[in-house]
Amino acid sequence: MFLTLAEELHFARTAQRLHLSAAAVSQTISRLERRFGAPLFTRTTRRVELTPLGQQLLDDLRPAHAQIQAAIARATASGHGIAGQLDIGYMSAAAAQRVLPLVDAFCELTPGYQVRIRETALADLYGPLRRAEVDLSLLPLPVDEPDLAVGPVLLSEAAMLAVAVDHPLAGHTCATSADLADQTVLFAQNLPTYWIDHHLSVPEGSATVTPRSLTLPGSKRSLPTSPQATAWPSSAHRPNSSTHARA
Amino acid sequence: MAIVGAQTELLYPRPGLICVPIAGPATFDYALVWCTDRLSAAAAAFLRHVTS
Repeated sequence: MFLTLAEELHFARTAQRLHLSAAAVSQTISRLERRFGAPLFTRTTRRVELTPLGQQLLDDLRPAHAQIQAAIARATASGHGIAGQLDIGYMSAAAAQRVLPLVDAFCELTPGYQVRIRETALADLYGPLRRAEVDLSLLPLPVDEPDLAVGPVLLSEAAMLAVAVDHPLAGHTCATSADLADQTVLFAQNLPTYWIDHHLSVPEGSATVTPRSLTLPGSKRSLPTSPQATAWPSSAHRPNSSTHARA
Repeated sequence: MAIVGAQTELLYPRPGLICVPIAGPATFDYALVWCTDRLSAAAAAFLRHVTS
C-alpha cells in the first residue's frame, strides 16, 4: 500500500487501485507512520507528498520490490511454459511504432518469450531501467550514463520546432539556430544537461531553457513530459500509453 | 516553443500548434538502452534479433 500511494500520491486513486476505501488506505498509512514514529507523507487538501523519511523508505524498498515482482513473473512464466519474459520501454509514439513490429517479429521467430511493452516518460528517461521495471528501452540519444549501455540506432526522425500558429516563426518554411536565439524553449524537467545541449544547438546563452510541464493550446491537460510529448492525439490514433502485451 | 520529433505532427495533430522544420541535420536518434550490469537472456536475444 505504501508503494502504491508513493506512486500515485493520491489517496482516492490508491484506494481505487487496491480495491479499498480511501479511509482504509489512510488508516493503514497512519498505522505505518505510528510504527515508524514519523510521517511518511505530508497531506494538504490539494496534494500528497513524500516526506524525506517516506522517500528514504521508498528508495530502500524499490529494488527489493522489483526483485520480488521479477521473481513472481519468472515463476509464472516458467509455470506456463514461457521461456523468458522481456519488458521493453519506449519513449515517444514514433519509438512505439518502431518497437511494435520488432516485437511481433521477435515473438514469431522465437516463440516462448513473453514481451511486455510500456511507455517511458521523458522526464524519467532512465528510471524504469534503473528500477528494473524494463530490461531494454528505446530512448532518444544521446545517452551518456556510466551505468547504461547503448545499442545501435534503430530510429531517426527529423527535429521540428513546435510553435503556436500565431508565433512569428509559424510562417517560416524552416527554422535556423539563429531563429532559436533569444527564444524560450521548453524542455522536460530532469533531463540531463548534455541531452538539452545536444538538441538545442544554438550559441551558448542565446536561448532560454525552461524545464517545465507543457500546457498546449486548446487543452486543459498539462503534460508532465517533454519535447517528444508536446501533444497528444485528438483521435484514438495514439499508441496506448498503458502496457501492451505481445506474446 | 519546443523541439519535437517530426512524427509528432503526424501522430499528435493539434489545432493551434504547428511544426516548423529545423534547418540542418538535426535529428532525434533512438537506440535500445540497457543497464550494463543487468542484461537478461531474453533481452540479449532481442538485441541479437534487432541487429541481425
